[in-house]
Amino acid sequence: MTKYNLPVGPQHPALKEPASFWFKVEGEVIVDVDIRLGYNHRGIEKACESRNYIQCLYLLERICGICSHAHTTAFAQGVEEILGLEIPARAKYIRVIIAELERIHSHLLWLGVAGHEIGFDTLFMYAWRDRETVLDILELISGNRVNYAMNTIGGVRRDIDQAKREQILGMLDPLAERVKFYTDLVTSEPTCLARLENVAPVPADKAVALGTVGPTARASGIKVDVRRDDPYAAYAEIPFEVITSERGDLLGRAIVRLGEIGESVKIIKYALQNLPEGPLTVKAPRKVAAGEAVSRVEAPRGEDIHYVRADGSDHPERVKVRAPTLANLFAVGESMKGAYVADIPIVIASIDPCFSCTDRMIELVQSRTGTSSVMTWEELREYGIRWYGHGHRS
Amino acid sequence: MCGQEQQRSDLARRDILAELCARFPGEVGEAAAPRPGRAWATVSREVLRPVTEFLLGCGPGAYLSTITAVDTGEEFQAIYHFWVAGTELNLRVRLDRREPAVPSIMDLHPGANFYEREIHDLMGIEVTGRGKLERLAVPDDWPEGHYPLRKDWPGLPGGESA
Repeated sequence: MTKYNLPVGPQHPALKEPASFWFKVEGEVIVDVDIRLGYNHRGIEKACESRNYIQCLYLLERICGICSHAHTTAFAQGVEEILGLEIPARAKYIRVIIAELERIHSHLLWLGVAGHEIGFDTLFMYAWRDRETVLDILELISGNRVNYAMNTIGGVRRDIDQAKREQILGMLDPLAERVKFYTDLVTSEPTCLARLENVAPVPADKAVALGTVGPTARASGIKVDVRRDDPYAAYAEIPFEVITSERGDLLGRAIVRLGEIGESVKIIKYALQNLPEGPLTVKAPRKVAAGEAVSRVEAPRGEDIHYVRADGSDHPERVKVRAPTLANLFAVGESMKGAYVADIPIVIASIDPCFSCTDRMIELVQSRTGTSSVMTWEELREYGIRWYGHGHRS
Repeated sequence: MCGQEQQRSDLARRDILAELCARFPGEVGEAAAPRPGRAWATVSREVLRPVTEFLLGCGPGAYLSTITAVDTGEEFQAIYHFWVAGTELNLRVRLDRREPAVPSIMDLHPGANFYEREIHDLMGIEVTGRGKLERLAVPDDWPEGHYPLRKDWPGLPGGESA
């Protein structure tokens, strides 16, 4: 059978990790994948070296529009470790509350995108409507829907007072109900099952060897979660379950994320009800004595790791960031071998990468004749929906 | 060797640094455990591969979080961040500025692929034994020999710089 090369991407240069996938296809089946990144490498690590620690915090917040709090938490923790600062208990709890709101926001956003990619736009609209609840809460606390700027070196910048706490608690229960509804829907609705069940599975051994993290790893049965394994902020004091699935497929990733929203709601309620009294910050010096630290955070997509090296001045000597998408992209590429062209959009979306809201060009090149045709991402999405609509693989 | 009978969910935090020192006597320098869950050690690049193999064998969930390349001015360092048996073990390899190269560990841990390409693109650390290092972080038309994270990087010819 004639082999085709199918380049997907690169695309809109607005996000941290736009990617280009080169698929080799035989008929409808993907036989090989190559990934190229870096189309929008912004040099943030280098830029940090010429900024002071507070400026770095604001720059790192902008690595990602969704997990901005994860990055500032990771960086602030690293600097605090070098300084030997113990932040106040109240600040630790508020860091947890924001982190879990961010996780719900991210997972609901993902659910909507996944619904859209499989042609289930009603799910997309429902999920994004419910996501508004979380964005409203984040705005109530921080004044911002995204990029909340809650962290500073030595604590957090804003409090959550009693009136706000009660208001937020009242908003969480209806959200938890909705998540139960989505869990039932995703595990029983025929469109979801047809497009998610047994698609592009990653077995557990491969998930470890390829270094996957977060929900992608947990959906392959790997019980790994920085919040439990390497507790930071107030996570050691707050009860919660690490959700896993043995499935390894796209359905497993959906089940894990939805389960995690339920756990996040529990964590937020516990933290709001048990918020310790006390100050929000401890004073941090402007200059940081020479030292280094490795800081890990469980971002919505998995382990976010920062390395910070200080040289005694007011700006870091080196900042290194590894966001979770980089750890997961390689596995998703490998898992696509054997999948269908029609699965490309949802498989890429399944790890919740940072490039789902973009317009991509798909070029189909027939290797023998050299002819090519061009499809947009939207056309590829519609192709996948049509292909399944015609009863393939049913 | 480390026990393979552990469940993936097992969280038993072991003294991985002591195990490493015992397994590679005389090879592990600057060993430090500043707090629970963090350990630091320095090894030469000659033993990087056997040490990697040992660490990845310590529990079914062991993996490489990432590799950090550092330019201290006097030398380069490649720091391998392993999550193993409940500890983030940061394994430092010191490299001469004149010949910054490390052996690839991609065959031992395929997940190292992107991280090896990244330290080459941005810090100019050669990774031997894995074939051509395809570019990952810098563009295809990025000039050869320009490694932006080096402290002495002068910026791109034509004016653009950090």
